Amino acid sequence: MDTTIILLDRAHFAFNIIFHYLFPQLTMGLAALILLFKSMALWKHDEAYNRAARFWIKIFAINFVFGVVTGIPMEFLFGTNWAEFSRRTGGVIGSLLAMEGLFAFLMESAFLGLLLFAEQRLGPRGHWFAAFMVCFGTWLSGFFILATNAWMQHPVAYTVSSDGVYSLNSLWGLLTNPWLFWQYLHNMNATLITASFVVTAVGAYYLLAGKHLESARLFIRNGVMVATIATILQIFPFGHGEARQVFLHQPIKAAAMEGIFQTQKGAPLIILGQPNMHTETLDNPLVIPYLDSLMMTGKLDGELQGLDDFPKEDWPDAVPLVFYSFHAMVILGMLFASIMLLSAWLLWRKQLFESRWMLWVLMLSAPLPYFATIAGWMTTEIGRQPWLVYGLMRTVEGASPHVSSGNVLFTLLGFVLLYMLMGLLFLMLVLRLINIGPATIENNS
Amino acid sequence: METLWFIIIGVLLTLFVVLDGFDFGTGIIYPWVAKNNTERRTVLSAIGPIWDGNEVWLIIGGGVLFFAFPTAYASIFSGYYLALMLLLWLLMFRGLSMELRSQLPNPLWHSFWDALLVIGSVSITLVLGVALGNVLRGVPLEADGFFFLPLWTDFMTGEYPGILDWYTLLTGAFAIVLFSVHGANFIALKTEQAIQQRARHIARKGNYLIALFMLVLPLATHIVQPFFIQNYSVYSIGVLLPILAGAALLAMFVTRSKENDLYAFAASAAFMVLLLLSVAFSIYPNMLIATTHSMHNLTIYNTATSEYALRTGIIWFSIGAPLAVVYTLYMYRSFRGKVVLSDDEEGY
Repeated sequence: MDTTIILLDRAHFAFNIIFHYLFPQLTMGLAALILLFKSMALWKHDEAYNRAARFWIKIFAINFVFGVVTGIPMEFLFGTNWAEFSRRTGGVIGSLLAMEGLFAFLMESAFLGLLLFAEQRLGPRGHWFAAFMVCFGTWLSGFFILATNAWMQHPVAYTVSSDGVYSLNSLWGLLTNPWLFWQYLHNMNATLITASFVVTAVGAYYLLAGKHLESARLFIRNGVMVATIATILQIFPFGHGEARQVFLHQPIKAAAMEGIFQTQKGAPLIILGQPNMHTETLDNPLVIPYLDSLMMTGKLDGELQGLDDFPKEDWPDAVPLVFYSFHAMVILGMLFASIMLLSAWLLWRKQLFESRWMLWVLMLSAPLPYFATIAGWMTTEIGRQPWLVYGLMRTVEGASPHVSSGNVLFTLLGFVLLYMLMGLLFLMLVLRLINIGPATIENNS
Repeated sequence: METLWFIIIGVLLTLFVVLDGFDFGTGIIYPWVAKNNTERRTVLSAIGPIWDGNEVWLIIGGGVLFFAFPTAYASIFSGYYLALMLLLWLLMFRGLSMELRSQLPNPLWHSFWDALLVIGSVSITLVLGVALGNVLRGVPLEADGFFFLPLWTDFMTGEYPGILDWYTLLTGAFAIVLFSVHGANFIALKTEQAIQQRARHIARKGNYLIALFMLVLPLATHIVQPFFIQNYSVYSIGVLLPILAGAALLAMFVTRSKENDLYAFAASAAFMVLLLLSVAFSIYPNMLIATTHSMHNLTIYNTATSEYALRTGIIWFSIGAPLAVVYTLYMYRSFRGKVVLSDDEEGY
């Protein structure tokens, strides 16, 4: 199969999934925060939390709609552009997608309707329950999708026929794929970070603009609290746990991520550098000696395999991209923890609401968790290359045999155009809601 | 076991057509039943809270097809590449049109999304009808189990047809009429006064058109696929399905003449169910018929996954399906009765 079409098919899926995931990334985290607000309202009998919940439910609803409409294509794109992959692996991963629809989607859409339109009718406890079910539904949905990805990273519970068709031999094994544990925690915690950064940023904006002050303080207090815990957990143990499992099971990806070209004992942790694919070295490295070996093997002089230990045809086709996206994610993760620790300290000293410079930082940080998440997924997915299913099926084998590259390019451009328009529309509607603010929404209804 | 999953997929897709069918239909007749902003909001409030749940049945159906018959899923989705992409884009904008219309209090904004809703609903219905026509007519499957269809060729059926030909256009037009009537029955049930009267009028006229199509379509199908008659002669009990479908059509006329909206809606739903069951009965055990050579037909046997997966599938499906039905019923129950517009910012 010619390489143009594989590249186009990859770009097609990558673009669609990245754009789609911008929305669930917020909905999953925000659902948890809305549940937190509803719980606090019940527990403390504080109407301010209900107002906060009502405001964020509105933002949630718009976000959810965009997530649904950009999500519908995802299930179809396996079949349209990756037909050979679907034919050979559908017997395993198809069941996860079917279960997602059956168990999660209807739950989400049913209870979101209640969350949006039935607060009066349900009463405080009923409304809390609706928030709980929406949160549960979105996190369940995330579970099935991550289980699908986990199988592509670390295939388990399958048998293979002589003509290369995979079929399931243990449903339980598929759902408890060991890969899933750290991946689920790492990814779901990232959604919490995203949502708490967004909630904090809106609060910071209100304080800076001098409006909706009471809501603003509530958003910041809760946002900073959740974000501080989540950003620290994200580094240790979640991020560390996921990196270690990559090191154990996907050593080539680990070497590309860390920028280790030569197998070595006592490998340093590389903070920055430039992979040079001609000389197969890392140029201008900025390092902390021994740290990488220590973190991955537990010993200062532990041996780490470099890319040179593996045949070139098993290397990811874009080693620098894997290296840069991994490092972008890690550096952003460190930055998040620093910002939130500082904010938490200022909050504790009762200085945060007056520190305008810090509020500016918090407001402008809102998009950063999105970048970090995209970078993390690029590391995972581009690092998985040249495999489509790790160690079993190469990406070049997976594309639709009868769909030509022109058709793929045409529909990719179609999606780009549509999503550009939809992105603008989304920003316009959400910014408008933020601008109207929680208090005004309250007065109108 | 394969047969059981064939039936499950049939049921899931039938559910999708019957449920989403009335909200597509509502989108088609929208400008004719709702003339001003209040009326339009009323009509949108009737389908607003449930369209998303209705569409989930398509996703579930697609997922189950992917899981149970991966080869058929792969072949169908890549073969109808262009039509499917078109369908996806339309589905996206139609979904947005209902949800975003109420976001700004601006008449131009409303008109824009109204127009998108109508265009989206009509085109999606056409594509769905054409898709059904394609399944009945068959596609040029090659020896590797794949195919790729152009949007159209010379509009004739035959060995190498396009997605659009005279037959699939006929089924597409039929789908538009059928969904319109089904949608009109639903709107008549959910609204009062002027909107209800207009919806009833559309349903009454539409019934005649459906009857007209039913005179032509079986004949046309027989010309395109003469072997469909086989299953009916082997298992003669199957003849009941089209007969019952005919009875449901009759019931559509009777209930409409008595202006019993609930029974009329039930009758059009029953008609659609029986029609699709007749279709499924005719093509069984094929998933996709080859126009090239019957050896290339994709059947439930040469496309199914392993016996183990199909068997464990029954376990999770029998846990999930009742839950899904409960959520659906609960959702419909919470929004039961005639639509009452609220004046606050919530709603449609």
